[in-house]
Amino acid sequence: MTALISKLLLVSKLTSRRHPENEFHVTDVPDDLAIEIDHNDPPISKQPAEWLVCFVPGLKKQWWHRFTHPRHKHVFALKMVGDDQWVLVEPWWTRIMVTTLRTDEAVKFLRWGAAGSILRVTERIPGAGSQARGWANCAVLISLMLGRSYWTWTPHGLYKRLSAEDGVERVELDVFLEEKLTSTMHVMSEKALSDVPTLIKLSPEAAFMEFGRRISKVMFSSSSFSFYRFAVSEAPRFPAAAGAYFSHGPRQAVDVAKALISHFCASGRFHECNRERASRAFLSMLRGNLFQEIALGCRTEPDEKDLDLRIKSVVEFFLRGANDFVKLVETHEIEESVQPRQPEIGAREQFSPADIRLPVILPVQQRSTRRLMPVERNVIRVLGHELKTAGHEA
Amino acid sequence: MSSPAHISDAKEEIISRVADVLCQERATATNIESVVYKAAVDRDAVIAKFGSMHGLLLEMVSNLSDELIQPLEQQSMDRTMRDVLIEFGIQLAHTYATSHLIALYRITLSEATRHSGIGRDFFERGPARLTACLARYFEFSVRRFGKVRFSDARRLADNFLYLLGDTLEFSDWMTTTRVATAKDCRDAVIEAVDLFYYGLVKGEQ
Repeated sequence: MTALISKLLLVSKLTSRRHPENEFHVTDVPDDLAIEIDHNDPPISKQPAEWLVCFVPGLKKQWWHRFTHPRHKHVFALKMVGDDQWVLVEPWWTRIMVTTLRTDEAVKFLRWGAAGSILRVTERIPGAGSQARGWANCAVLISLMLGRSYWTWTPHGLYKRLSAEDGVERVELDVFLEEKLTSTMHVMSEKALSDVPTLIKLSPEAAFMEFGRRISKVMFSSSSFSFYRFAVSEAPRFPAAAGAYFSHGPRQAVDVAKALISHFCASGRFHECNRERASRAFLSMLRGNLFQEIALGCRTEPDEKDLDLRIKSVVEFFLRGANDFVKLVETHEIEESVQPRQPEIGAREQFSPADIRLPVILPVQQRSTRRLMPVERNVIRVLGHELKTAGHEA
Repeated sequence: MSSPAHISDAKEEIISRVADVLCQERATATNIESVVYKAAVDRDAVIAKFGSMHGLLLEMVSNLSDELIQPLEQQSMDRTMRDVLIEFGIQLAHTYATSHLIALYRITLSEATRHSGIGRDFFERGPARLTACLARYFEFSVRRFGKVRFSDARRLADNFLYLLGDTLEFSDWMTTTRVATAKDCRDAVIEAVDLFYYGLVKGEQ
């Protein structure tokens, strides 16, 4: 009897050692793993995500299309998981494609969606669908993924059931993309350009170097290429969204470059110039061939060291031009012209840049030394020609 | 069997018709097949003459590059580098503003996501070729005075090429059909060449 009581006590001890919440404990799974699940059973808890569910016409003819709605022959779903990251779930006949896409790639699916209908739907956790529904076609699988229990086997049937739900919205793609591009580019620009006014306290070299670094960091990021590809290739179809990319992205960078150039012009450190053109030129040089190579898929993003060397070269060129190279070529061009063009040398001697007539005939904004140089060169050429002609006549 | 001259004429005819449609639809064209269809060119003729639709697109890019590099190829001794760069710049600005180059670029960029290799081919026949020609011209400009090889020519060429052309202007081309006047182009190019020569900082001349 004593032995029996001890055995029973032992059993009760064993039972009491089990976690009270772990009533479905599986013997092969360690306790510490089994108890780390939420009330819906997964090891982590997630908030229900919002999906863009696309009901689309077929892209190629299929025998079964005659039995389905003209514009809702197939269904797939996309959700955003980052500024430039989307997850696509598309049931095929042969597999379920689950993959991540960049924005420029996702837009190609969304355009297909816009040819039919796009609904914004929130998934349900744990949901009320059932794996026992059978016939795993696109409509059934997407319904299950969203946690819906609808007894419908066609994309259009699912569309009607989802459309009737509270909180489900129809998505107008052009409006959606414009809002998305506006907010994303705004955030990217803020990140790169927010404290740029402090740059005016630096020297021109340091200011443009720092500005170049910040812009390049954003410009050469993979998301920036994705938005650029979208803006250029989809502009005819979504002009407002492409416009939002340009005005909230690159345009902001041009404005900051313009402010920097204006500051250094006002403080007398830069020549007067067309500030808009000079700002665009700076940003265009920062992009250079490297940007085109990446955008066209010829190479991957550069590392930070390469980028820094490149920015340094662009800043140097922007501030000082191809100085040594130009001096070398110009000097020899002048020397070379000495022999065959003696009259031009004579003209150069007769004319000096300080010639008081020149500033009088030029508009005020063109009287900088840099502006005067080509004018001076022309005057010399004309005077040279006159001297040559006079020489012949004599 | 067609003679080489016949083939060349047929190719030129196709290119000319497709280029016309691309110029009319430079802000909207996104697909070479639909452009060929609108140009009323037989698809099979394109395949026969150019190998593929991509072949047609790439030959058009090569033709535009041929025109653009002309001022750099005539390496004459009696013209200053400044004059040559201005002529090259004006040609480039004019091509950006009025030709079918932008439409070809947009189509290529859209196609590049399919990893068909067209992006690389476009880059090599377009920007890379222009950069290489500019670099050769800069080397020539130094060599003609008996100087040694100029090592930074390619970087200088890259900077100068993008100093002239700005992809940001896509925003203008998309929203308006305004074409810059010849004077606008010339002013912009002269300003760019000034920047190339002297930079922005004062006291560096």
